[in-house]
Amino acid sequence: MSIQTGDQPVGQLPLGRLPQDTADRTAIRAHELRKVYGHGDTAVAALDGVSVDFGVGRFTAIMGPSGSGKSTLMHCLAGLDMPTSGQVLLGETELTTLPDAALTKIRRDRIGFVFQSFNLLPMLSAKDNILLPLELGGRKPDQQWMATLIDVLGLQDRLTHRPSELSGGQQQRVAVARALVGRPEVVFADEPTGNLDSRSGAEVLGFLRRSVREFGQTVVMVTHDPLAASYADRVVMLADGKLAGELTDPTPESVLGALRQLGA
Amino acid sequence: MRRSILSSLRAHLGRLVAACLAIVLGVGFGTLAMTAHSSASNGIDQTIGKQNAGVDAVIASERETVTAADVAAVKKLPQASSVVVDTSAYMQVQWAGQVRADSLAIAARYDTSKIAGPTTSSGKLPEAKNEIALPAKLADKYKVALGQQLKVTSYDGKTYPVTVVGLIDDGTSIGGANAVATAEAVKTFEPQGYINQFKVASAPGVTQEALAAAIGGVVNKGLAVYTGEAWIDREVKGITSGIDVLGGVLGMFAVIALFVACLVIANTFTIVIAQRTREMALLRCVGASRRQVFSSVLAEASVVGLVASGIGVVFGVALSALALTLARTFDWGLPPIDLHLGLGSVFIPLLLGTVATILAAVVPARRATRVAPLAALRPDAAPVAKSKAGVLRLILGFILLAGGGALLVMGAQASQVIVGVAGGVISFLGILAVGTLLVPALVRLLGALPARSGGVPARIAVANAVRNPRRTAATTSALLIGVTLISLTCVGIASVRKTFDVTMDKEYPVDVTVRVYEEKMPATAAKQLQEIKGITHVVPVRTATVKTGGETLEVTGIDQATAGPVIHNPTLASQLQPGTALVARETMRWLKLEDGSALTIVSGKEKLTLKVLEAKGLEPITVTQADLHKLAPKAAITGYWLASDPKADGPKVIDELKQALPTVKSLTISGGLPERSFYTKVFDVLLLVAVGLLGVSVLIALVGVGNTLSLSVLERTRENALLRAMGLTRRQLRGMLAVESLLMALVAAGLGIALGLVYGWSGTAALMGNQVDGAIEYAVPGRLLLTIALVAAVAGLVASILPARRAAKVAPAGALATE
Repeated sequence: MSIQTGDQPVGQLPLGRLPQDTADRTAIRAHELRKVYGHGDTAVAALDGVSVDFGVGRFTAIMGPSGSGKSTLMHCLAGLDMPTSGQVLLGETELTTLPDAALTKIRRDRIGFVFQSFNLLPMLSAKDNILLPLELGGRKPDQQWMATLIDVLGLQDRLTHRPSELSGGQQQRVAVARALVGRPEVVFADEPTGNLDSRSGAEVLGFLRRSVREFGQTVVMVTHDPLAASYADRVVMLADGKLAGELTDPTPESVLGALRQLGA
Repeated sequence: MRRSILSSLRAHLGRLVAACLAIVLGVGFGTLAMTAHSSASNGIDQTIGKQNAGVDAVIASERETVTAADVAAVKKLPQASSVVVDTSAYMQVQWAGQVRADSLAIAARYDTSKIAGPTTSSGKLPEAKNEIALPAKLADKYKVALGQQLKVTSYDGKTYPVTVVGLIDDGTSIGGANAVATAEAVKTFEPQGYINQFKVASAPGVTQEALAAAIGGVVNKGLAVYTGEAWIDREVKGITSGIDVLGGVLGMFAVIALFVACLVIANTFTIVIAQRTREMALLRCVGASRRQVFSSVLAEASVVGLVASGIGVVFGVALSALALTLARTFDWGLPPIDLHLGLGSVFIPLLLGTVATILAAVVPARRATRVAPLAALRPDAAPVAKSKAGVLRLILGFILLAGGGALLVMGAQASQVIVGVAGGVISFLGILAVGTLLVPALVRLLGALPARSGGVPARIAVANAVRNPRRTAATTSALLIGVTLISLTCVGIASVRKTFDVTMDKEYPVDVTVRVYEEKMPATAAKQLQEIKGITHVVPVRTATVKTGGETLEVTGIDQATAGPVIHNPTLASQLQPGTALVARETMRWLKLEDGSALTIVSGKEKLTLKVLEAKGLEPITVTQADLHKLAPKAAITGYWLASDPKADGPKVIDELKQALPTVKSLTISGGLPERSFYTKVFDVLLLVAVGLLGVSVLIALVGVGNTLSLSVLERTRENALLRAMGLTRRQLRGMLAVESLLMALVAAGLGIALGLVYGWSGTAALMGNQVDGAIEYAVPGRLLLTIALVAAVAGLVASILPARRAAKVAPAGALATE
């Protein structure tokens, strides 16, 4: 997605901020995270002592050039991958010491995901895909919340379709609904607009921001696109596995400037 | 191109391991069958040759019996240098610890200077009239030692004391060996000794043909004269015709196993090539021609086929060697056979395995050539194999199904086995052809239950199982063949057996009768008989000698109230009523009676008139105990009719009965049990052998199920990673694959059992229609079929273990990151 100016994205609603007190609490926290791949001479540190907090009800973007460790950071935060050392605290829960089964349950019940390549299951309908994480945990969906999500995301006519019958934008909206339906503590989005055209991308980003503003959702998004990052409340910069500064209330231009300073 | 083939083989070896395993099993089994057959025939050739060493001519009874005059005439011939007579006496011998005497054939010792004869494994051959040599196995059975005294009794009641001086080496003979005594002794035991045959060795310079011609001129024309070679040939054929049949059956099972292996291989190649679409397209992009792609796949298949077949041959030979060693160690009643490796038994399986693999790869290779070069450039992460259920194939399948079904019905109705078999094969091909439609439908049907109650993982499992109908159908087909054949065998044998049982019940309504003549049954006889294991009912019978017309004969009486359980023919049991006499057909003819006519029998002053009913398998005249009592109130119990447990070991029951009632000198035992248990044993062995052999193809098919599953897992790495990220636990993932595998196994089992019933029943009808006058009985061996389904289910679960472990091991983050 290229940087666009002047074009007001669809779905972005001019709503005021939620009360400040929600931002004071921490949804997820990384402490001195290190992740090393390989051994000895071939060892590469993808994360080299990263400590960062993500506030409740905030939309945070993680940015950085290729190989800066942003995806690794997200995978460790989301319990998809184990750091070599350091801690991840989701609320009060220490993730890094949990066995696989417990981590799986946390991902199922407390975390939502949106991926670059949508990652919907091809043999399930849109509705079944949305309900997948709930049903895996044997939970009943909150019907009112489900209806709100479907309405806001404009998926009413698409619920019975298979992913192969949906456009990219529609597929990603299904993925967003899937991430939000269980009201997880944190939604992680990994390059959610990477495979979308600019209009669909803007829609999806708008929905993510709206979920933060209207519903108090915590969202952490990995992206390399300054325009996407400008939808966030805060941008965390990563380079060579280390924190390299941050921006609050970013604009595409300020993000681009910060990236230039990183030499990306 | 060669380098690319080899490197791709190296890269994908893991994915081809299962295909290799299928080939190894199929080829190994074929090698085992062929090696066992060639070793057995070779062993028999050698053994018979050794037994007949030095024999140049044999004269045997044919239309006429060999007499001493014939022997004397041949002895006078100048062409004959040695003439030996094979004669034997049939004696009774009382073994220590046995209640009653047993019979023993004693052969006469002859001059073995030119013609081979029995040899001893310990001791010596008898030299004096009171000496005897026993077969080593017999001596072992009755614990007879060298130097021990025995008493042998001739049929005219004369008893001779003999000393055991040697044990005959019977380890290498086919069939049991005889005891041996001197010719003089045998002549004394049985003066009218029957000459079985006599053997002649020729004088130096006389050919076997010349000798046989000379002999033919002097002996009775009704005798058969063989040259030594012709005799050996005849003896060998007598034994090997059975082995050839067995070899043929083994070969058929090996072909089935190889066919199943072919299906597995074809399926594996199809999947592997589908997964390598991108690689193939890249080859095409950089300038490889269609022909080059085609031949690269075939070359890969040839290498795989040759290597796996080679391993299979080695495996098969090793297995045969092991089986022969086991046979020798555990003494299965076979003569010891040495491993004999013919060129054919090594190279035919090798060639067949390789060719089968290449043939199986042709269709996938053709598909590989259709990959467009552009496919390499498409962004799709995992190109999915296209699976259209070919309309033409479906139409063809339905035609085959209908035609084969019609033939099957015709074969069953007209008792034409060949028509029936053709119908079975054709309709089965039809089933395989419509499998792409039928199997997914059945999976969906069967999957409805777990999908409703098993939550999302089960629903996804069902969806996955029907996602690629052709692949699922191919995987299931391999298993279907084995299960169908096993069920067919079980149903067929059970039906034939049931039909036989009903026939046997008519032929021999009573399992066993024991009877004494001219002596008294001991008072506790019933109790003693009842204590024998395997005997379920003991009903006493009394006999009286009566007169009818001018004839004297015996009437047997049994209490009709208790006779039910020992008379297996319900018609006869109900006909046994006061006022009726059940009369054997021979007795009716003798007394000139008709069914329904009146029979008047007289005993002393008593007189009784009974209605005659023809009865098969009972005594000459059987009446109720009440009627017998009217005629002869003092008639004593002279025997018992026994019923046995159908599951009991018949020969063992008979053996125990022979030793029962020790106070009785001579106990006559008869009835249908020996024959019935012989058939039972034959059917059991048949079933065991067939199921065991077909089990190999099921094993191969299960390798195929596991293989398809692990290749599918590879294809769905991203999907599974996503599910894990979404919160699917490892256990749920494993369960999901288990359900998918279980569905395929159960559909194959269910369909196979249903087909097995249809084929088994129609096969029984076609086979037995002309053999039995009564109705054919159709059996449902419920427990066996349930076991088959259960084994298939368990095996399906087992097949999913490795792929599931592999799938569960994949870290969600890593798999999601790979684009």
